[in-house]
Amino acid sequence: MLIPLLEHELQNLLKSRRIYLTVTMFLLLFATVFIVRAIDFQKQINQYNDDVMLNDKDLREATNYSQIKPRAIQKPIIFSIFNEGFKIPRVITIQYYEPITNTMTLNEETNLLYNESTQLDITFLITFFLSLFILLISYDSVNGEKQVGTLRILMTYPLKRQSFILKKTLGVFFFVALTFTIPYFLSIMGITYHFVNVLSLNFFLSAIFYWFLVMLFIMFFSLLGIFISCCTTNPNRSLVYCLLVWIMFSIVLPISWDYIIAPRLYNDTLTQLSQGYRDKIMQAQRIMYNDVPDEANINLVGHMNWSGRHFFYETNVAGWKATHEQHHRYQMYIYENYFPVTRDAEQAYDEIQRKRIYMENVRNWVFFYNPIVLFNSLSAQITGNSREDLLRFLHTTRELRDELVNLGVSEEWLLDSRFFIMYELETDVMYNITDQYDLFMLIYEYAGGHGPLEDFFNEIGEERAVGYLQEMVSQQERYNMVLPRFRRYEQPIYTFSEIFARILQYLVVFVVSILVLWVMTWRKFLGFDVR
Amino acid sequence: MNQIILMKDIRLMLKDLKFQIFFLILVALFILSAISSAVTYHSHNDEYQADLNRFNELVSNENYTKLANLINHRRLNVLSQPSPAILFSSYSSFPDKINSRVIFYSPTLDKYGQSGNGVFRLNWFFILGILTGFIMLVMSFETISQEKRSGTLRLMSVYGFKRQKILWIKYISYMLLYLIIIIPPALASMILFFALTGTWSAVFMWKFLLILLISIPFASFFVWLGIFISMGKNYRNAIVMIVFIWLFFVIIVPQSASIFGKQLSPIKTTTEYRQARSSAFWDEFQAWNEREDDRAGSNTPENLEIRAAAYHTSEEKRDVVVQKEVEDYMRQTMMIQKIASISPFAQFEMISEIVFDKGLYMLNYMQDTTKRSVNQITNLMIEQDSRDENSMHLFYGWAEMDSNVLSFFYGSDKVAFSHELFEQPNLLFVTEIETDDAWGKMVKIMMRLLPILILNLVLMAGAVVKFERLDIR
Repeated sequence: MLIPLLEHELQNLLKSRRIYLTVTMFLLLFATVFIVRAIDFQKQINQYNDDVMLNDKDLREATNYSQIKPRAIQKPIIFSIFNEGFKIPRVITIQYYEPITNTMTLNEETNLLYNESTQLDITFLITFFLSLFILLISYDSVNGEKQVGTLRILMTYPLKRQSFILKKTLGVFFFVALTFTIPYFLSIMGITYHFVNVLSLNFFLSAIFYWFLVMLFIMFFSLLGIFISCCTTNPNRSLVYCLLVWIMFSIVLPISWDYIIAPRLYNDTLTQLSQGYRDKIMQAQRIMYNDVPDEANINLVGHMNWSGRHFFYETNVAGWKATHEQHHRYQMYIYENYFPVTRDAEQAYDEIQRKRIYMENVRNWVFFYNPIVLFNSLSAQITGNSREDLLRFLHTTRELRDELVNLGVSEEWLLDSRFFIMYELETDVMYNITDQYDLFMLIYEYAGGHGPLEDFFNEIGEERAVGYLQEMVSQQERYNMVLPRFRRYEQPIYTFSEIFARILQYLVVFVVSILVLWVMTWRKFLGFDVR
Repeated sequence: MNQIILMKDIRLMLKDLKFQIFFLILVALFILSAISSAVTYHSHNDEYQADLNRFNELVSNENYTKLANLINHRRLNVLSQPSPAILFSSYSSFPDKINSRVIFYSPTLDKYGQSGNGVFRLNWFFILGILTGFIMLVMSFETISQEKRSGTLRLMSVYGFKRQKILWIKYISYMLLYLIIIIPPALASMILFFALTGTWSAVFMWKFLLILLISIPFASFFVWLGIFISMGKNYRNAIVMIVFIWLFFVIIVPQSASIFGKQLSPIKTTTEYRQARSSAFWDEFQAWNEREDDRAGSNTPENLEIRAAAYHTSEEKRDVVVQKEVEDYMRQTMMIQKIASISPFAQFEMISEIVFDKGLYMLNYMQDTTKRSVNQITNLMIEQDSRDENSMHLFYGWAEMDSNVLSFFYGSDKVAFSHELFEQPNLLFVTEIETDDAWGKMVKIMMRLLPILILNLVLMAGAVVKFERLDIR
């Protein structure tokens, strides 16, 4: 009995012009959004490749340790075509002691004049449009039948009211599910074909979970539409109710929480936390720039500078040994004082992010009955572009940074002047600090290609010059640079159970709310006057 | 007789459940938007005060206002102050602050508050610009079809009413209804906001009233649209149609504007811009070094003049690149705005920018002000330095560092640039930004209103013609 009724219901739906209109609009929107986002993704992939090449080039061409700034580069998440989620920075440059919170750079086309707050992805399409379409299809499914008189006839047949409601729900559900599933799987196939090089298991896992979530979403709204249709006998009235419910669910309630309730509850804590973070950053800056003791201040002895053609050591005092020692003390000072504070700053930054994650969780519990909020939050968990993933990215990058720093300490280049010194292969001369300023200038002139070596010998006397050059050669071994072997950043891969664990608790809430709504609808229809 | 029908129409609408529900929602939203805007206003104001305090601290620090230090990357702040305009819209797409180095116009942009990732925000623009269109459509979508179904339309034509008159009465009654549902809650919201923030000002009250007045043609557009659609055969299909039209104008066009704008007017990536800036500087500096035998790289006393000139021109080159970058951003922003302005409701927000001195409209004036201030400060610094006998009058960013070298190696009393304190440190913090006068603004507002007025006329003409031909049997 159920199957013929279901067939009948689907046929009925297909006859209505309203349906064609909504389906056409939805498909048009789906296609537009998908194409725009796929083009955008292609751009992201190109940028990613550029970033990787640039990173490798920089590391290859580094001529001293201080120039080694490996980047942790996050591969664009392919499923972000469907769900943009929380925008995680793609590139983090590792700069030894710099805190990995504010060195985040987004190598994107960021328009600094215009800060867009748009979200035009398939998730937005589902939460905002699909919900409305379902309600527009189902708002008169029960009371409409009553109005035309078919409901009364149907009830004279040996058909349970429960089955009638089930058929109505399944009819709307299957119809909308098909409307979504066909373009969805076509687009998945399109992606598989076009982006075959960047596909990963994550993508297919996300695709399956996402589809399942959308099915739950459609089920909830189909039931909601039918429930409202049972609440009043007048279809016009149920239409207005549906629109109201939709506006409340999709706009009014979420923004009331975001802009009124949440700021009231959490603004003070967040301000305190960000103040704590800023204080740590300020403290670190003071250590770096203001509190440096004279015996460790490299500005007093000289530092690396750029002549416009190459780096060179600029010295303000005589004595290269003294300068090197000063540099060593500076590095020690930074390692012992600056580094720990920047780590505290990182902790403080994480606190802020954790508080925000907590706020998002509270929001999900407050809106447990609102599938729009749940869907938005869960889809980011599925795609891997939630705030938790930002924290994960930061943590991994910090681990890599710590490894690099430890390597520098154990191999003894980070804390000594080799960190700054550079060895020029072409001229075979080290830009070094000489024991006298004029001698340094001569060497510098020579290295810069001005004046022959004889001049240099004549100027300072042969014996001294030979002695000096010999010393340089003997030191060469010590200053020779071997690139450290550090671990590169690797993209995290989620397993099925990991994703499942991430969304489990809210998934249960989702399913329970659908069951509750089903019971409510069924009870409501039992009391519905079919005459 | 006309009056009687009008009153009857209005009374019927007031009794309508749709109207009552929408009215309640609007009241709630207006009140909530006052509260939420007040929260945002307070946090923006706190940030503004913190900026002000930080600036005062800096100005009282002699190390900061020393001329030689001032030319080394010290910055000028031009800020658009937080104002009650936030009740209308947060204008969060555009920056509120421009920072620039005091010796060059090299803008960096910043804003108050965090940029939210939500698509909607609770404020007057959301209510008047997004929701009211929807409400007016839902209220009016069955106006003619209902009369037709119940037979009253036929009756009226039997009584000898001109069709045009019937249409006008319908229209006027909907517009009156609009005023009824909008004005009282809007006024309550305004008063509540002023009370919560303590920012009462007559100027802003008039501005809010003006914006309510300007919202009328936008509501009227949707009323005409609703009436037009209600003449269709199947009014339930009509509701689907109108919801799509509303979605198209209010959500899809503004939302997709930035995506299409970015495709049509692309900018470079941040890395490319950074490289362009850096190479503009170093290419020029290197060229100087090659021309002048590496003297630009040297900070010995005899080379200092060349070095200063090389550094300064290199910086100028870099800042030209920075400005080009900002021009690129501006070009893209204008493209996004152009696409968005297809939607009358994006136009509405643009008009409000003129009324409240905010957003893109304000940004242009902020840029002008910043350029002017930079020139003024630079001239004053050079002028003040020229009076200092100890100075070598070399105006470049490394002046102070090279002065240290001078004194260390050569025991020189001379400094590259004066060590005196800047005489007018208050110029470094600008909050007064001059925009158009009232007439200029009025002209700009009228220019923006013109398309929506024309759309109103077109729809009205369409509705009249369609109604004349309507089969009312």
